[in-house]
Amino acid sequence: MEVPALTDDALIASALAGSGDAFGTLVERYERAVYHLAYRTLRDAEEAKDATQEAFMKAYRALNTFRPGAKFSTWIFTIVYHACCDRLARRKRWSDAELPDRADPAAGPEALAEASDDAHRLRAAIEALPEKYRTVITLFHLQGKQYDEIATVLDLPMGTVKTHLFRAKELLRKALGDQIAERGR
Amino acid sequence: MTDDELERALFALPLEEPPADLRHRILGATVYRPRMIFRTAEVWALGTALAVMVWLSWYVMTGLPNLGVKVGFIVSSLVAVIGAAMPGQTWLWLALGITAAIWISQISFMPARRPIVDH
Repeated sequence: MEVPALTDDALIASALAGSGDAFGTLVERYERAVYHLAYRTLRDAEEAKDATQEAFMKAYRALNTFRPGAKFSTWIFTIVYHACCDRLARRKRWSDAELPDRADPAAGPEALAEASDDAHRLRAAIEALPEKYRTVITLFHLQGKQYDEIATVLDLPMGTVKTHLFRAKELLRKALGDQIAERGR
Repeated sequence: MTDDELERALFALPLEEPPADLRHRILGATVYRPRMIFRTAEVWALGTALAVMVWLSWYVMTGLPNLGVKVGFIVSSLVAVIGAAMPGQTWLWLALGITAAIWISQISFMPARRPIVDH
């Protein structure tokens, strides 16, 4: 018989009572998703690693402020998203190389053409999206169709989230369609 | 590509693999981080006390020729500060209390030790 996994709320309660293992389980459960969001937002493995660590440290210190009943995933995604925004702002301040709303020049049509299989092509197409669309599509990937949760993380109205998502999907379809058309020629 | 096909492809996309040492780094910075011996307030209090002691030492050392005057000034300043915070009668009770404590500390309630006699 399979032992039911503890809920996030139960793990948080244990962690607050002093259990290091409980917080370790939370880290194990969300580390990959949090890193994924940081990596997609920052497009830099080293910075994504630092942002993920920073987010978990902040969460650990502020665990007693976590509202019971809220979703831990939304909370930790919000923290890491803010950490990423700070890093992007700092990067923007020091260099003109990366602007939040600009597509990555490295992941242009050439990079897309190089991508062989469907997953790689889709990943490359996401990488090529402007930052605001890339983040919303990443959260859609992580949280599913929970638009209210995505809106909470990004601190945007639900309507804006839906618009960004619609636009992001449109751009993705166009990018993938262009490639299929190019391959057909 | 339809909306459904795109969503299916999106959800089938594997998440990025985090670096192998990331979890160790997170746990090392959170649950396994060595606890501080003192709390922040205690560190502040100790630091302030240390700074005052250093200043007092410097004040006394630099005024060696007038050491008596300087020490007298420090004592009178302390008395003035404490005196401002306490009414006159408190001093009387405090002096009585200290005197009583000194006297009591001198009294031995233990029975006198008998000399050991070898039979």
